[in-house]
Amino acid sequence: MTSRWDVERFGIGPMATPRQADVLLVTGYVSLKTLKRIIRTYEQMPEPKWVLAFGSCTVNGGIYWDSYNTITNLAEYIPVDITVSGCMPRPEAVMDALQTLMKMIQSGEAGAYKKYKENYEYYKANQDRVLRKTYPILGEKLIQNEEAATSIE
Amino acid sequence: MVEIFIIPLVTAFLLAIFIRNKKVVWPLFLISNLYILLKLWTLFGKWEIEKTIYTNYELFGAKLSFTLSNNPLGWYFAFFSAVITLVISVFSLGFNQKTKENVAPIWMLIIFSNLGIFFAADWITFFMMWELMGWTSFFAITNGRDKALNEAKYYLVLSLLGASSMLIGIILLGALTGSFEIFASAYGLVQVFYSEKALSIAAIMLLLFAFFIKSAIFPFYMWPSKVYAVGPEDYITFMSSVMIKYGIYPIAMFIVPVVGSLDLPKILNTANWIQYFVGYLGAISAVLGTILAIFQTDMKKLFAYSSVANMGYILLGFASMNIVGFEGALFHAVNHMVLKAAIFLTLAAVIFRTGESEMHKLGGLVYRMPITFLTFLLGIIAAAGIPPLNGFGSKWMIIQALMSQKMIIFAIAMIFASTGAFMYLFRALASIFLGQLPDRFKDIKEVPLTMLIPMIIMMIGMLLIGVVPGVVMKPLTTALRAVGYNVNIASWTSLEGALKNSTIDLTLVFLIFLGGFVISAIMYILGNKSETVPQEDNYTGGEYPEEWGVNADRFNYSYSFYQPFKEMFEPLLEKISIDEFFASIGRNFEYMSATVQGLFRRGEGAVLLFSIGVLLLILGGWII
Amino acid sequence: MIEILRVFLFGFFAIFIGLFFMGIGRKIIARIQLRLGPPFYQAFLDVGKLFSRKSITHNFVMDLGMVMSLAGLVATMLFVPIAGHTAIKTSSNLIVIMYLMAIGYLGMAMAVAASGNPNATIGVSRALTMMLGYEVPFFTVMLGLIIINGTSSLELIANSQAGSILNWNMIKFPLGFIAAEIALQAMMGEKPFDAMIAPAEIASGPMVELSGKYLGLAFLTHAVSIFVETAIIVNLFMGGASNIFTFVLKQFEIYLITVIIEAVFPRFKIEQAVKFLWTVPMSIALLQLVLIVF
Repeated sequence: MTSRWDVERFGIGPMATPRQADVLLVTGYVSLKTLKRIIRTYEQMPEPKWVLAFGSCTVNGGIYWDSYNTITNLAEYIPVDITVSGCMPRPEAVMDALQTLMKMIQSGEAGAYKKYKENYEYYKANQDRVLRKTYPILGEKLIQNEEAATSIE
Repeated sequence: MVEIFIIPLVTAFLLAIFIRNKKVVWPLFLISNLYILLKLWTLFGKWEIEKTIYTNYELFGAKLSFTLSNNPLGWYFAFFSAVITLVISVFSLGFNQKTKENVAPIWMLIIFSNLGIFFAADWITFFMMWELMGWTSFFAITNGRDKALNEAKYYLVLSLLGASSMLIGIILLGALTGSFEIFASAYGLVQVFYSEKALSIAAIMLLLFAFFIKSAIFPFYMWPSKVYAVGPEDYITFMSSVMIKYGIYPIAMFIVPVVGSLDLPKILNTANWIQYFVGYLGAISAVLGTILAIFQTDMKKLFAYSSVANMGYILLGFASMNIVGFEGALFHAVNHMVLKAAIFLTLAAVIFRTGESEMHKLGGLVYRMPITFLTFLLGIIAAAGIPPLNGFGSKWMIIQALMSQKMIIFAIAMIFASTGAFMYLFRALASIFLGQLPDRFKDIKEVPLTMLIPMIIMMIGMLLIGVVPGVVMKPLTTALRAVGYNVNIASWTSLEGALKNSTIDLTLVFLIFLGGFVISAIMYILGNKSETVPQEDNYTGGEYPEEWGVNADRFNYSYSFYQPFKEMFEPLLEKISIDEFFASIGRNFEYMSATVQGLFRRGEGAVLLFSIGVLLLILGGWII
Repeated sequence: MIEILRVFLFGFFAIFIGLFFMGIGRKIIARIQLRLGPPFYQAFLDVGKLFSRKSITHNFVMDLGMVMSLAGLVATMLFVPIAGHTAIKTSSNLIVIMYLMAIGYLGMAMAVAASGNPNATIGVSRALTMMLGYEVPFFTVMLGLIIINGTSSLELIANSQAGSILNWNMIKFPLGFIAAEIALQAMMGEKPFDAMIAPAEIASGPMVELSGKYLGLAFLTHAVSIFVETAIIVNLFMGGASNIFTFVLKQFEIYLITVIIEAVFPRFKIEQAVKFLWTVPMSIALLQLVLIVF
């Protein structure tokens, strides 16, 4: 959001870490690799927290709908409060969505993070279905080798 | 008076007998220290006590005698070092459960020489005690550890160098003034200074050389880092807090009064060249010690360099030749004793539990050793010179004195050093106690009670001196008055600065800080409640560290903590490595001694050497 | 009793003014970048929101450290004379002020390092390096003023400039003022000296693990530090003020300079920043000092 659109006038600004964030914007298609990071980031945000899914890709996969490594519906994995359709959505649409979200928060409609806590099993099952545990890149072997090297020194 | 000298000697003897039995040795050590402290307490104010042993020998027309007197300034140093020693000896009770070696008898001898140095009234006694201290501390450092030998040798060579320089200085002083008594020779030196300028300055310089070596001032700043890294930790605590002040005491006792009463031409209307000489060495020690401390990875070495920087502050206080600076320097000597003892006790506790002194291998110990952490925290706040704790008052006085004397370079050096102190002190705090707790330290516990109590006492001490500076300033000003300085007795709570309208009330500062704390705490309580998450749950750009094989040990940022800063200074520091300089001297000495040895092996060499010696002796006698 | 009330009054006043400045600062930056910008009371809304949110803490050191950081700054603030008033009668010693400020920074550094995030620790290491960078030139400027006035009391230095505008140290010692301004920029951690925050690089550095009220406390700490630092400059160079309104206005002028520089500059790397601070402002400050002393 550049100075042309100036979201700061609504008191909205980007934050560098999930700890300081209220809203998580998931912009664009979500590959399995990204999904893992999104889940961790979402879980690290303190409550109350909201999710804004951005673009068609997060709703139904968009042009990636039959891709082998892209999920088609973000709401199955983390609770989404509000979605912006379009590919790509215009900046005005995003600002509108953010303001709608503000109104929803004020009226008490937006509380998807509570759903996540209540139905954690459901979300977890969905997540586990697509995500696989990867082997550590700096695995045990490597650590042992390094330790051996230092002990030789 | 004599009892406090006999008791340590007897105790040392007893300790040597019972050396195998730890259950006897350390309690005995503690009781003896307690006795010395109580005895010193009763000596306050009785400045007339004196004990002299006369001999029949005569040198330069002065009868040689050994005199011990209850000198006020010496009492000030001796008393506070006795307090610290007592606290450390409580700590040693617990600390030495595990250690194999036993340093107690030698340590007791050092305590004996400690008292001797502070109460000596003539240079001969002073020199004897000084030598005893040098030799015994060598044995205490090595203490049967092989790896310590090299470092201890380095220390010993420097000690010997200092001692021989001091011996020459004393003889020169005796020849000039016809007296070996410290006060009389000071008076005499001022008298003969103008007629025998070169020799007087040589005497002062030779003595300063010895004192600088012992207090690790600039050209000799290497030994603390070498020695502290290898010595037994509880003894190192004593060394870093008490023994490093041995150079400070005679400077305050002898050099400052002499230089102060001389009427030397002033440079740029501010100070004479001896002041500048001392001041520059102090400033360089402060700055260099700080920079080197920033780069250390071993925590004991880090605080060794911090000691060097603190000795620099004290020297700057002396260099100002201002009564506020002088008081500030002496006050800082005691403050440094207290805070360095507190810090080194915590380091000893950490090493006791983990066996590790490299900072980047530690981390997160606060979750296992909270009291140790708190002591360390207060210690570094004090060492950084931040108000509610001690360390601030004395630094403040020294800066005030430097500013009032318009010694701008020294004042800037002091500020540089004390701001740099935040860097290395915080680095130690973050690397040792904060961050992630490595798996191998998951099941360590807080240290036992005998080690906790001394730490708590040190905490109380730091806070007490910081809030009520009169605890130290009152005895100090009383002692200074008794010596003959024209000073006001300090009040309990405030400190007098050297500039206009600069009295600060440290108790008030503390209360205001409490006020700030209350406001802050209100804001904290007003906020919504927080939940505690595990230490590993950190923002990592969305990655799971464990999937990358990153364990708690690797998740700490503590190895090259100030890498950009280091890169700035590296080219400079490579050029001025004093260590390399000494190493080259060492090599030359080895070469020389090999040559001399060669001479001895062949018979004619011995004759040659002997005749050179005789010639030198004759020439020497002729010159004198 | 009245003292306690005064302490609270001064403390909350500083927090209020600091937040107010922060809000206006954001507005001004927005206008420079041809934006509309947030409303001027945005900082208050932010702080209110942060305190009402749930937050995450890692351990008790974090709580203690954050409380200590605000406490240190508020305590410092109570020593700074505001238009001749201090919360409690003290000699308002400059050295005490400079050192008391450090306890706030130490508390903050401790809290964020206790979170265990390497980004935070990197940020702190940079912040402390930067501190060494700016303290030296700033102190050099202060030293000159202290020597010429023969006192280290901030109040007396402010009083010595009473009368016309020509008596201000800003006019009398322009070089010192420039050096102090550059050091102040670094002291406030504004661009080009914000390597310790660097959101794109180390995820806002020290603040990386702060959430909810912890971030709120960090905000308040920053607000009070803005107040204290501008107040020191106003007392040192602009002759204090006769009433609180003028004082705050003068503070705002100082803050305005900082904000305008902040709005247009990119970021120095940390070693570049320290080198810059030790060459340019330091030589200006030394020149001023030499002119004063000799």
